[in-house]
Amino acid sequence: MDIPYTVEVRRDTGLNNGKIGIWLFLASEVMLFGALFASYILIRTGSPSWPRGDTLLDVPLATFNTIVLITSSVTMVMAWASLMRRKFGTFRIYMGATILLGFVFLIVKYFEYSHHFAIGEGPSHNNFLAIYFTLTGLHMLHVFGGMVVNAYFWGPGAKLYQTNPVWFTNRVEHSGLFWHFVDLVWIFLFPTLYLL
Amino acid sequence: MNLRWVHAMLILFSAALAVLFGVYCLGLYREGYGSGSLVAAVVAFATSAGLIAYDSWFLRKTRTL
Repeated sequence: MDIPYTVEVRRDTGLNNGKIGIWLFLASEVMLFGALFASYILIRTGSPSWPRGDTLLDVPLATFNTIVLITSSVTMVMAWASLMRRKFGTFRIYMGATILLGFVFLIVKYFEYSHHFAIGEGPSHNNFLAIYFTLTGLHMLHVFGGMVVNAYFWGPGAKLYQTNPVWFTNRVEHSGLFWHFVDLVWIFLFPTLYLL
Repeated sequence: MNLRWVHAMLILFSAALAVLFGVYCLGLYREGYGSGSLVAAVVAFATSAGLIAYDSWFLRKTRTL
């Protein structure tokens, strides 16, 4: 049986089923990260002393990673815009760049993490690093998940474009919405953990 | 809301972050961290302006999507 409303819009929701699904999923993600942010605020305000993020963390590396993620959101939206204009070749270039930028983000994070572990600053070192590793670790998992989905659309999943280009374009848009959510989380994480 | 509007919103948040980062760098400069932090602040403010210009270009360019 075919999945209904993959291309056409449902009259009751005003959206196709895929878009409703991704927005519901993102709503649950907001609750997940919202709970962790709330925990961070409670721990920080309840603590008699709290270290400044820039005394423990590498701000220049995180700034570089912020630029990488914002650039990846540009390449992601360009990939979707290319499909909307029926330029499949351009889509593959932009989607490839998005995956590559996600990979760069993870490599930089790996260096950041390994530096902390090398000097004995793991999650059990103090409350700040515990919440830092929890929030950034969960965010990294989301980046990785987004990369897997994007890689699928760049590779084997792209076959759908030949038979149903509108459905494929919708799928890429939904993946793009998730990728933008992941970027937005970082835009809040960066100042919260590193600057304030 | 489609990806076009979500992207435009993300870029606005990024521009706000660039301003915040600029203010942070200015704070470092006042604490005596040297001219490097002043340069970083100027670059951050310029980046923020650049992001807003990009946002407006993007919305005009993708009006038909």
